[in-house]
Amino acid sequence: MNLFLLLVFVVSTWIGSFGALFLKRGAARFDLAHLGRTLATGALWLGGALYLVGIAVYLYLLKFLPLSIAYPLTSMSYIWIAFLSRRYLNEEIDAWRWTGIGLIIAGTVLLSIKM
Amino acid sequence: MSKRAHKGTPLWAMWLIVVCTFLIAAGQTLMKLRVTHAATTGATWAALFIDPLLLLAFFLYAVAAVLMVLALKHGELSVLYPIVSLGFIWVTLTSIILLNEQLTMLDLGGIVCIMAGVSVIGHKGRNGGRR
Repeated sequence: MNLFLLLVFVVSTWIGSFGALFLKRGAARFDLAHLGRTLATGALWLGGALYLVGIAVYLYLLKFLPLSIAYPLTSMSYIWIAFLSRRYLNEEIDAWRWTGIGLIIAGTVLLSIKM
Repeated sequence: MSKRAHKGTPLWAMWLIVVCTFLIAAGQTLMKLRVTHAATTGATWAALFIDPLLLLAFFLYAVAAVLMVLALKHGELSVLYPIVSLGFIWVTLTSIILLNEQLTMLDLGGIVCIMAGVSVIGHKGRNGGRR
């Protein structure tokens, strides 16, 4: 297992998840009828920018990892998004979601072994 | 409390999600191909970001996102979201067939776990997902 690449993967999905969090916050003010106000929503720009950084880091990872490993590992973001939406958006994470997150963590561990 | 569950999800919305998984898989495969190409030809990262084929991959992703929003507008998340997991199957297939990657049973087990996890979150998670 390559700990460095795994760490970069965690950082990449973490940044992307923060991007999703800001996009969700900005989406509340999304309104095509008031394009000016929509474009002035800082959260949307920040969310989009973080998303792009996440993609750039993912491309870097693709250079070193097989696609069959890298693509499923992007699901790590589900783990971070669950914690972030609970903490910052007051969303409830029920037992089924925790089960899904557990399965994703198990899959991530299995895929990381060969990494 | 939502009663939309009784209305069902139109079949076309489900097929639209299937189309999305094809677009996502094509985009991912193209990304990997272009990054590998850039690495072998020694191209810079700046050159990579204006690579037309890589931009095409991003475009496919954007189209998939729009179609997904359209499908979700007319169907239920709990029905449609697990279908997104199909993308893992297509990417696994293109990795083996087009990219000559080799997968162990452990890798396949990991992919199946992640598919199951994403499906469970999409299918059941909604019940408790209050804002």
